[in-house]
Parts: sequence; C-alpha cells; structure tokens
Amino acid sequence: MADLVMRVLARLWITLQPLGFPAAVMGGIAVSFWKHVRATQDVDLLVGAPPEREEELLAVLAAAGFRAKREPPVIELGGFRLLQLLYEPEGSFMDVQVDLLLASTEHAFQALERRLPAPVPSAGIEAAVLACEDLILFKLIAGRILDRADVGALLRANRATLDGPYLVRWAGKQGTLAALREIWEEALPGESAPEP
Amino acid sequence: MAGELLPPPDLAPTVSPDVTHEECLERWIEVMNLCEAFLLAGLRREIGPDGDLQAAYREWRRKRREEKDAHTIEWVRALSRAAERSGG
Repeated sequence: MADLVMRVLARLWITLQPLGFPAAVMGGIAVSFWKHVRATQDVDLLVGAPPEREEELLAVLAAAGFRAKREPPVIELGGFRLLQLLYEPEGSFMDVQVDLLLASTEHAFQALERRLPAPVPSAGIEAAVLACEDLILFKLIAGRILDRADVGALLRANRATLDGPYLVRWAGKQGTLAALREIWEEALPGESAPEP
Repeated sequence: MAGELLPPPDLAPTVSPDVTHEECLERWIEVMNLCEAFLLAGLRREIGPDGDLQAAYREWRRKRREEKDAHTIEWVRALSRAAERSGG
C-alpha cells in the first residue's frame, strides 16, 4: 500500500507541475516527514489553484487518469474548495484517494509560500511539504483527538527548529491558541509556550 | 488533560535529532507495510481461508473513507470558521 500511495503522489505531482500552481503535501504523509511516523492511505495536498483555472485543473487531472469522486467535483465549504479524486494505478486492485484543498485564505497562501522540498521515496522526484508550523496549525483546527496527538508529537519531535512566534501568532488569529498551549504543556512539560 | 495525548517524554519513543526527512518517509513505508500485513492477517481471520481477501480489503477501505470524508468536510468547515476569525 505504501508503494501505491507513493506512486500516486508522484503521478499527481508530475501532473500538476506544468500548471505552475504552488502545492504542498499535508495530512499523514507530511506528519511522517516531520518525524512522527504514522499510517495513512490517502494523498492530501494544499494547492494554490485560482478559481478561474479550476476547469483547466480538472481537465489535466482527468487526462492523467484521476477521476472525480463526485459531481460536481469541487465542493465549496465556507471560503474553501475541496476536490476529491480517485486514482487506480495500472496493475493495482485498488485505488487511492486524493484530496486537494484549494487555497483561498491568507494563512493557506502563506503556508504555500513556506513549503519545503520533500523527496518522494522510490519515485525519484522531489515534491513539497507544508512547514511543520503550518501543519500544526491545520491540525489544531481539525481538533480530533488524533490530530491533537499529532500536534503533541510534532511539537516534541521538532521543538528545536519550530518558529514559535509564527505558530502562536496564527493560532491566536485562528482561535486555537488555548488548544496549542494545552497540548504544548503536555508535550513539553516545564517549557512555556511562546508568547504572541 | 495531562497524559491523555502522549506518553511522558521519558517513556516516549525517541527520535534521533539527526534523522533526515527522507529517512522518516522510508520509516513511514516500513510502518505502512507492517500495519497492512497485520490488517490483512486480521481480515483473513474474519473471512476464513476461502474468503476473498481483496474484496474484504476494499470493503475495509470503503468504510474508512466514509469516516475520513465526513471528518474532512467538518475540518474544511472549521478552516472556514478559523479564516473568518483571522480576517480571511
């Protein structure tokens, strides 16, 4: 399954490149990149595709074999647009789900600007991944116990390199600062969370 | 709250500060393969030696996706609310 997911990520990345949209891996693969290895079976990407180029994005993905999970393919939820796709590599007996979150907010675009290069094992390509702080901010908003545990593990594994003021500033703006402080105290006992 | 999310630092699995991101992704592949082996063993036990393992795996994934999709929709709504709070 891991090989399948990596093949789909590589295919997706290569398909998106000619469009020139900034993109970054998020979700479980990104969490693993940031030293908290855990299982995931899907590919989740944040993509900076403007609404006026959505049709072009869909056409390019369809031509590469990615099929929309529903009609219409893009769901609008608040200010965000979500595109869910399925891709079944040749010779596989199952498909892999791909969720593209189309960026539309100040934080999402800033997160794309801060993305980092990430090698895709066995595919020989370099993708990009969200910075650890932005991954934490997205997970704080998700708020499930699994996401909170991910945040704690990410804080612990990446404490030395985290941009604390950036993290706290955005958590404050997004209304997740109290949750961040609570998780910080548990992950890093005796160490105060940075002040805004 | 304390102690609910994570093991205490002295009991937690250690991550070498020198581990590279590439090594992390290689470990992710190992973890995935190991989890899948256990999952398939559990499904085989459920369906018996003559059951269709590929069909059982697909059905397991279908159920997981339903759960994940429901969570994803809620998460995106929460992102929108957070964006409103932060002024866009």
